[in-house]
Amino acid sequence: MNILKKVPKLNDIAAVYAVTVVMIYYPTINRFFWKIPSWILFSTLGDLFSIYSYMVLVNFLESLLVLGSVLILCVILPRKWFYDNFLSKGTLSVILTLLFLIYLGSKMQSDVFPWTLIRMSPYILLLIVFLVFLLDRVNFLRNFIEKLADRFTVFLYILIPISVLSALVVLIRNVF
Amino acid sequence: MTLNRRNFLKLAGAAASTIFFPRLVSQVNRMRNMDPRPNIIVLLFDAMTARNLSVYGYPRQTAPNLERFSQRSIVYHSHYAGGNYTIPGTATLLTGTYPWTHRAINYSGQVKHALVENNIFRAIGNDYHRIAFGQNVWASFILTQFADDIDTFLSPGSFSELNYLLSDYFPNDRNIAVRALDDFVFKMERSPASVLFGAFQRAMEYRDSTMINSDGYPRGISQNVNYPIYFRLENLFDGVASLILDISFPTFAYLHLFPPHAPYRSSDKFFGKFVDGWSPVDKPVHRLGDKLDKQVIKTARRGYDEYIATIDREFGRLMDILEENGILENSYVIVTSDHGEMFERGEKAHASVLLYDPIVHIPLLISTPGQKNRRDIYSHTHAVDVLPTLSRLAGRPLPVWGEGKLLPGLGGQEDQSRGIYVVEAKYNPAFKTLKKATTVIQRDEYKLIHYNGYEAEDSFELYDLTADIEELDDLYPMKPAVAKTLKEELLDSLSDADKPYTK
Repeated sequence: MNILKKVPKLNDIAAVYAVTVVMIYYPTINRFFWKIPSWILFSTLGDLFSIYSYMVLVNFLESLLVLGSVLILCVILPRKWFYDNFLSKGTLSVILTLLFLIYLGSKMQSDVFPWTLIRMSPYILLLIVFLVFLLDRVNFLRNFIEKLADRFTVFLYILIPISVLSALVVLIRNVF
Repeated sequence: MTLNRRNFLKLAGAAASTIFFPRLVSQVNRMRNMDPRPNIIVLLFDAMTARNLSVYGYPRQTAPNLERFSQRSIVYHSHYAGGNYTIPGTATLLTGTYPWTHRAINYSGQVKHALVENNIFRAIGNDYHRIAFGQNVWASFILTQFADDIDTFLSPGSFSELNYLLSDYFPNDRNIAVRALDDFVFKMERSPASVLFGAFQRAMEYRDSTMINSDGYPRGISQNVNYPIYFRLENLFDGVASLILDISFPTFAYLHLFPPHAPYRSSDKFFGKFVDGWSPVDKPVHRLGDKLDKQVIKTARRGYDEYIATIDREFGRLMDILEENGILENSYVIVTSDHGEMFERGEKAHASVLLYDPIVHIPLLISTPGQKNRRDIYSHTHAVDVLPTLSRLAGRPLPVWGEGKLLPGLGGQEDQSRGIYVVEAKYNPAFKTLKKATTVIQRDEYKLIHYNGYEAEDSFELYDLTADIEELDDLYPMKPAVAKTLKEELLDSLSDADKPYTK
């Protein structure tokens, strides 16, 4: 079996990654701006930029992990299951899984842990799988998701350079 | 010595080691010289008010071992913190300046960058091996700012059963790493900012924390609030003991222990010990307070007292170990706190804008090398005095930037007429004039409190602490002359401190 033949086209990977990046970066950046009013009480711009760099680096690693997971699924599953319509299926699986994780995170407080939700997670994942495979039969939804993912690629032009720069900042701060 | 190739290489190697490994070289020199100077060990208990310690007259027997320690110490009865929570309190002790000077006044705040070199570790000097352990992550925030002057830096997660602090993996950039990762992306107080790793870390932490052996602790073992650090008190004190026993002389160790900070987790030996029917003096709810139910406050006080008793037992064990190993014969041991805790007027703990005595009156006991008798000092002393005093004990000159005085009994004189200050300004921008703050001046028997910016008009309260330690009778309207003098002095000092920030 030639694995490379089951790797999706670069444009499709980029589109799925763009959706991943937006969904992972948004909650953290949102929280970052929420914290800025208290940080600017005592921090310098350099401090804020450094904190931002660590934050973006964490998000960057998360996004790579998610993309890697989707690609592994694509490679190991039968071609018809995921490789065909990778763009729409990959995008929808990323959106639904991350939405679930965001909801799960919102239920995690310092003294409360959503055990019920955790116990339900296998069923929720099954539901996500069902919805993803349903895409084969719902053309308009597939087209909509593909167009959406395609438009999200513009964010990569901003967030990837920022992520690389952040990784460099963290590296330099820790080496020198 | 002829300068042949071999000698040249030796010289170059020695020069390089001096340049690149100065700490190593100074440590080797110290060990070679067997420096006779005593160690200086600061044991700071976070959020420990003097008012709930039996050694200071509290009716409950919360601290019998501290009482035993006091028999060989100088006991300061009127010692005050710089602020009412960890950031300003710790920064005041470590910089020897008041909060309105060092400006670490906000939650997660930092010492003003221009003043970072003015710290206790630099004042003690690199002839001493300098160890820092801030078990409270916020104390560690402050300590990371002084990392260049610290030889051994211990993570807040040291001696713990469970530690998920990520900044430990960034030892060269602790200050930013702890603020970015542990205090933001992975902070525990609310849902994690990181969608994937944050949720995963939280799940791991919950899973692992339920598997920790909490035998002997009915409410679970101690834990660092808002950060994933769980520890058993006996292991913490064992760790501190082994750290002290391993030190090379002379050493300055600043050990900032998290207990008895909330959550109060007493051991089964002391759990329920103070279900005794005793009640403190009833005080009116303050208009700026939380207005908590009296029973809630009473229960919290009992939990706090039982936790102190648990800690005191461990402290006694630590002192026994140090005594058996002769450490007390050649060391100054300083027991103090960064701020107090209060259970009155509708408030519990210390996240308040109120600055009544229990929240700012902290213990200070100093055992000098070989001391056998107790000495009591009743005049006002302040956390700003610790830095110059320790600097002097280390044989160093008094720092010109310090705002404190030498402590009585250790080179200083008792001076009750001296004015000391406490500042609470967590809601005020650090580098702007203090327009929303509570400030206090204490001089002689009087204490003036100034509430600034919380209500339409500023307000003041005046108490006579000698006749009314419970601060029940506000003398502000009755003693206008005293109030006027103290008010002028306080506002002048505040104005001076604000000058760099006045446009």
